[in-house]
Amino acid sequence: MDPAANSEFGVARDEIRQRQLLPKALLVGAAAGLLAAFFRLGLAWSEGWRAGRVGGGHSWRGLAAAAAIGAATGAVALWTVKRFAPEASGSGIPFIKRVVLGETKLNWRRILPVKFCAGVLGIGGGLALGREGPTIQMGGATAQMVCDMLGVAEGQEERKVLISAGAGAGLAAAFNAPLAGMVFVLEELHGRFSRSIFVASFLACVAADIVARLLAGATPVFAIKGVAAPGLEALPAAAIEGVLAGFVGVAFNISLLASLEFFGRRDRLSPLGKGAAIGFFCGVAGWVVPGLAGSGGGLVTQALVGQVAFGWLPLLMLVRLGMTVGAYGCGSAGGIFLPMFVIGALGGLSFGGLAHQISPSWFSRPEVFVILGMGGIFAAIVRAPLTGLVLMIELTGTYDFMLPLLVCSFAAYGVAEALGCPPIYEALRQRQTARQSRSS
Amino acid sequence: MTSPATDSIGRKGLWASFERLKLLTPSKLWEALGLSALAIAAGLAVMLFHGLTHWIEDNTIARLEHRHTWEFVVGSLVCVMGGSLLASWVIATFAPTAGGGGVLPVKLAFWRDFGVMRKREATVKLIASALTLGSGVSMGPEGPSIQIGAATMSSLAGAAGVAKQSRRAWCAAGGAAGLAAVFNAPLAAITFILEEIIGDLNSKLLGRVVFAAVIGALIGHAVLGPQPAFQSSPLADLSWKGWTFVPVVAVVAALGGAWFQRLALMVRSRLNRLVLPARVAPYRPAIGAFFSWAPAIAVFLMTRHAGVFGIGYEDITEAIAGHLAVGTLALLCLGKIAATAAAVGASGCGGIFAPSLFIGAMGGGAVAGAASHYLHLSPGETSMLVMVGMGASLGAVIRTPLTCVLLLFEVTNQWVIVPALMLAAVVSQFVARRVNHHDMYEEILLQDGVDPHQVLPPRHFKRWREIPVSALATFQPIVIRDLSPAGLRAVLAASPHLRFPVGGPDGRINGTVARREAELAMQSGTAPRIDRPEWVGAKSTVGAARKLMLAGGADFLCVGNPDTGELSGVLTLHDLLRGESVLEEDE
Repeated sequence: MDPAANSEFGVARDEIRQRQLLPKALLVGAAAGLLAAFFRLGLAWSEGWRAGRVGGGHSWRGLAAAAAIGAATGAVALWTVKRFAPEASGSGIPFIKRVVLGETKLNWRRILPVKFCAGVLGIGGGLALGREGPTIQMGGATAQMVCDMLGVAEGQEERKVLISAGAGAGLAAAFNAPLAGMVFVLEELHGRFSRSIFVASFLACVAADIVARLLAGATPVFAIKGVAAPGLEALPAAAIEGVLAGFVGVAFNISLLASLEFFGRRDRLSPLGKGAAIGFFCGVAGWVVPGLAGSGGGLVTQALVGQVAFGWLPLLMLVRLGMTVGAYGCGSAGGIFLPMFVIGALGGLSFGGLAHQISPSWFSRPEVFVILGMGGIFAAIVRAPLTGLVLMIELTGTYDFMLPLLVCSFAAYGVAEALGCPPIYEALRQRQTARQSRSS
Repeated sequence: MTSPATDSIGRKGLWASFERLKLLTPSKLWEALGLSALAIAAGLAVMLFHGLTHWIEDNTIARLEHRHTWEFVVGSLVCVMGGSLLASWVIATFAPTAGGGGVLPVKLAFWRDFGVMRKREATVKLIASALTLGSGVSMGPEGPSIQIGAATMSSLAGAAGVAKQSRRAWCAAGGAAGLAAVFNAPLAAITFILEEIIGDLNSKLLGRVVFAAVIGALIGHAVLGPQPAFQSSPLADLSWKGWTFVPVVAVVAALGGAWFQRLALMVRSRLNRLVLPARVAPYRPAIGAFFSWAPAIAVFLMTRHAGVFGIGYEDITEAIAGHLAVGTLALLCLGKIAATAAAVGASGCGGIFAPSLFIGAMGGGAVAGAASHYLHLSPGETSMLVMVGMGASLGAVIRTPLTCVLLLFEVTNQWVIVPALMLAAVVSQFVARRVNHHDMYEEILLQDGVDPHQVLPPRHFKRWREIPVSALATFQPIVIRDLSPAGLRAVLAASPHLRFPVGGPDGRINGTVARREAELAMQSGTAPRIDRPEWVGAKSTVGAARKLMLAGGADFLCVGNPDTGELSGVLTLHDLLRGESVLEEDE
């Protein structure tokens, strides 16, 4: 085609627009990364503060402190969300999906402060939710802010591209996982390849990752040390674990939706009361087993070195599932990536421990199955296999587990799909859309 | 309105979903079993190809390398020419479609022929590529692996009774299995098939592609071992000095890749214009082989490195380890560009992944080496810059940034290079688009006079609206020139169309006539009613054509110049619908 035809039919205009997109994407990524890094630091500080008050010795004073902190922060966090920005409740990924699909609008002036404060308060105070949901939603909101400041017209494709790039940048910054952030944008938010989405999310994720690494540390989130990669003989066990992870994932999805339904029907209860009850429960659980409350990343690290008592694992898993489902269902702000990794890690360690007891020579390291469990449960719940695999590599910082991870994820994906359970974010998005159309 | 999501799992509960457990229906089970069996076959075929290539290499070029210089010079020429001539003969005699690289045939088969490929294509490709690569022509094994895998699975599925219309999934899965096996890189194999061949991340074929890639990787893992393709000592994070060089290395490597593409396409167009006797024409790759031997031997005589011959992975590993001097690196880079451009331009039987990686590694290594002369980069940082260069160069040629990042990560197993690779991928896309309009595959299609839009579907609706009318229109329209009943009868009997353009004796188009009107006119013996023609330019978009149809109420547009009345084709509602139907991904 000659250049005249290009300009006539919008191709050249697209190119020009794309060139302006690059600096904007960089800006969005850096801003989202900055915000996410501060969020991570805030969480680390508040979790440390709570751990200091509660102490590790199971004292009565510690119990009182844990219960009081949990109840108070849970109540305030939930009230803040419900009072100022109801759309900031939960993970934020379904919301961003709806924004990208044009089903709803994003108001960054409300979301940014509410999500930040409610997240730091709630998760830092003990709610069993993850940091990536807030950083993803805040990333999207940051992009909206940048668009408003640079005068990108409302309703333009560019806005959606930048918002999704900002969301990916949020994920990248939350976990030091730039590639996963980008794959997430492509696979989960858009589901197609387009050059502008590619370039924008690439740049935003890299920028966010660099900023977050500089401010919040550059090590992989779940660094693996001293666990040798399993050989081909671990593959049948990985497939079995995948099937189990598929069932657990479906159970997670069902109970999460049921919990949302449960709290949704009790809309007239004060958010202060609901938040306090869930916060109290999480706080007490965190007093009984240190590390169980809050985002739970420490628990995964413990599981990876096999420091969790084997006999208690199923109970821990169940309690943790209850904590996450309760905290998410009541509408507090926080994601479910990390919580599902915690459940996957605990489940994986129980499976690995069992396998080790059956055949110690064959399964010498139960810790291997921790990683597989995390990948499997992600595949079953989110049903975004590429994002899950890339995220697992970036979280652990090693590629050695790729083959068993692929097998496990594929089995879990197949089971969840065969059970007819919809992917969680799709189900949540449809639920939000249905509620919106009912209320209007 | 209640959402289907809560309906399906919220209320009916787990037990209800058990009842709908569709995994174990016999047809699904058979498909899964068949898929695994055929993926194993594809993986094994690719491993056979790998083994054969290395066996030939060990017994030709590699053996000669340690002999006397003149023996190597003469021997390598004999090997390269012999291998290439033999490969050309095999291709010309048994399966002419198996020539050239491997990705484009798979892509064309996927979109044009429902993914149907012949068994013979796999066999011939296996032998011809092994001969070409093993004897020392500068090309890569990845494209052939994709084609061998895809052809194996597609043809065996056909033999097992899978209908022609549902072979796409098998073709795509086979390609993934092949790439995953040869590189031990399942993730990159999945994304490459999704990004380059299918062009959609949420494809319905995803499950099967992932499954086949896992099995392919398993086979590769079992046969070749768990180690990555390029091994290096563990790396640490880049310092700020290293980071500043990432874009520089990326630009240089991407320029290397882009120039390689340009040169290869230039050689290709020259050679295609060369008029050769019909008996000699199939041996065109041998001409390319000779011109790829010349730079390879020149570089060997200057540096004593034989990396420009064949695949050249050993020299890439050396470059990563930092064992090569700057001058050597630069010479190897230039030599590889020239040698591979000649081989690819002559449609030699081999891929472009490995040469692109080589060019990037050497170009990146040269820049990093020169820089560390002044800035004292650590050895680890130099290695990382070599890897960055590999990613940038490959990205510039095949234009699939996600695949490049994942591939480089999977073949090196170095987690720390991912952010740098991502940055390099963006830079390389930017540079590549400056130098060439399209990626290698699309340029080759264009050079062959095929409009990529006509073969490959648009990726989404916006793109669909923007494709030119010429991609869909029917050229060679049937024009009614004689409006007498006899003339009408002849035209109506010969073609089933519903509307025809009417041309005057001077060749101008005066209007259109509907079939019904023509039939009525034939019966009554009068002249038919002629409607005013609606015109559309060949370079107008489908969106514009659609608007014209809606506004004018016509289902028939004349493509051409309304001022001169010159008609080059017609665009009917049927053409539009047919074009739109490829938007859907038929299984």
